[in-house]
Amino acid sequence: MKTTHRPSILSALTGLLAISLFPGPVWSEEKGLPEMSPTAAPYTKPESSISVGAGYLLGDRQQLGIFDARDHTRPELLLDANIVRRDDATGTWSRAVGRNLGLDDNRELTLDMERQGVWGVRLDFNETPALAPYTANSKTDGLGTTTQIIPKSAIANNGNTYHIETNRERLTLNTFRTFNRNLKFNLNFRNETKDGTRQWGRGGAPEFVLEPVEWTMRQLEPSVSYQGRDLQWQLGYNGSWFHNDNTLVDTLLQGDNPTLLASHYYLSLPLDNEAHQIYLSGGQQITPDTRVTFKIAYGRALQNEHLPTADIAGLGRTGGLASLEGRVDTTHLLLGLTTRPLPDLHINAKLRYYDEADKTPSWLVAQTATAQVHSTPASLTTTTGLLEASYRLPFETTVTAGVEHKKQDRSVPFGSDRNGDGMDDERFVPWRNRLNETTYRLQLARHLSDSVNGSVNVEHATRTGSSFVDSPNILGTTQGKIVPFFIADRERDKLRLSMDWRPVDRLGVQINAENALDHYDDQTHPYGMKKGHAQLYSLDLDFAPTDKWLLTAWYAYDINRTWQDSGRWNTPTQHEADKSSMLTDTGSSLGLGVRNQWNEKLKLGANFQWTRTTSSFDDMVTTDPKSAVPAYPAGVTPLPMIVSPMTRLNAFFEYKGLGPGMLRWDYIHERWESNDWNWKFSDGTPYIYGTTTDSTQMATQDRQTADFIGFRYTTRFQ
Amino acid sequence: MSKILISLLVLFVLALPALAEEPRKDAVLRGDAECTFCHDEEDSTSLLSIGRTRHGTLADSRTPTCVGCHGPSKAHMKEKLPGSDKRPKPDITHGRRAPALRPDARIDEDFANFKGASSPAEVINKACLTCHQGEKLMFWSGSAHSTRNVACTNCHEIHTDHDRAQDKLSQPKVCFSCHKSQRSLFNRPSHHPVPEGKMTCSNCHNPHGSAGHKSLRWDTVNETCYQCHMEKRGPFVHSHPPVSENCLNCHNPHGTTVPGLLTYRPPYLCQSCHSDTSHRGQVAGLPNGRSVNAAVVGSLARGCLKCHTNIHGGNSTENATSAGRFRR
Repeated sequence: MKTTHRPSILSALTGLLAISLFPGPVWSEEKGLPEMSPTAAPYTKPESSISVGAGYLLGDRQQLGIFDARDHTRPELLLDANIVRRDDATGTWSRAVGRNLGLDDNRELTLDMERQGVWGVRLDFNETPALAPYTANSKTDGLGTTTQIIPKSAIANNGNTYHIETNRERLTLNTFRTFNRNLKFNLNFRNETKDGTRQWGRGGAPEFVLEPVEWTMRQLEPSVSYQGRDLQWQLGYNGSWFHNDNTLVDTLLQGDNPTLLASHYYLSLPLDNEAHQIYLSGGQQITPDTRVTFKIAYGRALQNEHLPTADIAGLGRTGGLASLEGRVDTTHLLLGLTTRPLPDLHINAKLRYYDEADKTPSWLVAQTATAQVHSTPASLTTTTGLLEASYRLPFETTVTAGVEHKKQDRSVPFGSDRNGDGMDDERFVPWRNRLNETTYRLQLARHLSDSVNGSVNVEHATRTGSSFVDSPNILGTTQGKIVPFFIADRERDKLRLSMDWRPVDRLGVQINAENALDHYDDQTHPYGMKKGHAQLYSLDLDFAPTDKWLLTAWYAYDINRTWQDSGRWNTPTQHEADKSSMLTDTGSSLGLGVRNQWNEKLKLGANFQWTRTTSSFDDMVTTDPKSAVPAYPAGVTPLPMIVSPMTRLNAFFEYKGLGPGMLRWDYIHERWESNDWNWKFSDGTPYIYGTTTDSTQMATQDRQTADFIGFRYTTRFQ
Repeated sequence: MSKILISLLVLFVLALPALAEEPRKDAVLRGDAECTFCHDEEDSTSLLSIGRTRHGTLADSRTPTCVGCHGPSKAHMKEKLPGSDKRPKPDITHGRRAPALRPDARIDEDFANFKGASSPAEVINKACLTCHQGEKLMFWSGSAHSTRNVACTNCHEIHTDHDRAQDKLSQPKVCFSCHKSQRSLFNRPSHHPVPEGKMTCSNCHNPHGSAGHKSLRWDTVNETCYQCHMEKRGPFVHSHPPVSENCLNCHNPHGTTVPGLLTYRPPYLCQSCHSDTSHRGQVAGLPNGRSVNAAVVGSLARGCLKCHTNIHGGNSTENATSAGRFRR
């Protein structure tokens, strides 16, 4: 702190007057910028950094490396940069930011130039890999291409090993230009490609095939925005286009006559589609305490690409469709109001209308001797109203109460009426044409003191709707007995408690507890989801015993449990068994952290995390006394519980004593284990597709351990 | 005329002491001399580092002054608290962190912000909203964070060029400091690449409020998902109604224990809507060996999706009922 004395009031006033008469010494008229104290410059100029180093990854991390592709032993080049320049005279920034530049499939680069408040251009490039945490050994020819030939008979684990992965490459351009202080034009463009393969399947046997992924996604969003003191608005367009290089995949069994149509099993792919939306959103300050917001948007999604299966002679229905002429129009209207009619009362109201009108024609796609299949466009109109009031009570307490009502009108698709009873024969599940849900919320939040905050949230919601449109030809027997959970009658209760407490500067405590309960109770439809229950408890601590030490710890436990009933029927009138299932997912996590500023040059730290997730499946199967079929089919074992623990330890030190930069050392140890049976038979052996055909064998690694050590040198400069 | 000249001369003489003593210069922001007289490089470099930020870019005439964000703070400047070395706080303070949590030390990456011990959120936010309105903040008023008294500075750090809320790697930790449930879900084996730093919470949500539910950046859940998953948008020849209605019917985007972010494993997930004749009502279980019986292979190896592989919608016009069941 400076020790110079403050000038007297008289000298300050006279100085001020003189300065106002002779402004030269203080304000630079040429640049319009104040002349700043040079001593502060090192702390006020933007700082750049370049980090170069090398690391070595040893081990396997197929599960933990699914999104960074760092899944196996390899040396790594560690290269990051953050170059920032600012021309103080014009306020022009130039930035080049690179992350993971030395890591394949994982790089990110941003180039940005901006004259602050006037114009800007920003270019972003990034890659995101997605690796399946398992491999496939297959003799199928052409996997991941548009013609895949599956062996009729093969020995398992005697083919080629396939790593299933995709990679996204995204290039984004963001630009803006302001025309005065209030008006701004934005233009954003994105080009994204996704290439690789995804796991797929050929029905029946079933058999292993890979979906070829060669996609391009583009998005264009120009907009004009206005920002006044009381009025702000934005008018824009959002267009997006999806393109698939492939349209259809042909699969055959090896040796089958390719000239016969019956030999081919065609799998359709997502076709080119596009969507366009124009919107106007805004906000107007009516009074200092009252603001109105709004949004008006109209959109249209189209899928008109020629359907490739229409070109295959004999495959489709005679006179069938060659283009879907798919079109979905959306209309979104929003009106919001916030106001403070009393100094301590705050009102928040919203009215929202969202209409999704599927104007795709209902086509007759397939027609056999016993059934028809139509395309089934479905439309939704959702209207939501919210009214919420907050009142400031004495003792730094705020109570917030609100009610939200949602009304949904749902079209009921109609396929065909073969029986002539006026009802849809193609329906698989009951449907509803109206849903109503009302939610009540209450929050009590208290700013208990300078060091304690706490809140209690309670929520209750009731969802009902119109009577169900059941499946007609089997009404009252099978499909008619179930209700899809997302349109079922439901009572929902939520409770959330949270507290932030800092008893002393050096100690912070956070406590959270959440409880949610769903009840589905429809006596006329006994199957489906019956109940859901979720709980979460967490504790977070940070403690700084001295200025040089910081310790942290957190623990969280959550449990999600669902009860659902289902039934098994041999025919619509021949009941075999009922099943009540309790599905439970849990998660436990413990995190510990330590940081130490050993001296001016050396800093040390370490983090430890342990997470354990479990999934269990408890089924109670009741065989119908009239059924001769056993509840559990022969050759099937109940699902075991899945336990997946993960442990990660990372430690580092940073040393500033070597030259102008900083040396950093990192060590990471990771361990992942899981007994997930997803790709295994009941005895733990790898899953193999088919019985005679295919024989693709899947492989997972139950225990994965990896160590990483890396050194990097980071230099900072201005 | 001579009187005027004499007056100007007197005025000039009176002004001499001030001119002789060089006027104190601002250090970072316009008009900050009063503040940086004490808060200089010897007091706290972290305050001066606002000069490295957009707020400290003076060529942009919209940039604020200390007083613009902290208020005139006359009492703070005038005197110390009775019997103490400390001064009264500035009129508006934007948060407090433990002493060891110095932004310049960068040792706080993993730790939660404490939300108390500063001016009321309403006062803090009013200072920010003076300039920041419209565009991303169009729907701040009435947003979940606004109505729950979240202050801008609960998430944003103003005096540093590394605002954790705007950094891909650190933003989730800022969000998790309140959203504990999401923190737990992102620790599940199947999750979006947020912990890996490939995505951020703000890729899907606008924490400043939006016209959509749950502060989603786009108007609906599906519109949000379609930004990256356009291939699911359709419309399809064979559409699956719960898919086109709401992706959350089957997926939890924050994380699950099931591959593909599914909320439950097949066949349970499928049986929450389909439970009747044939293999649809099968009892879950693992086959003891190779099998192609649809009634026993619905639990493992992608379950039902092995055959019903185009579950998001199919485009086949094949004259077969199986095409309508997402098998083609």
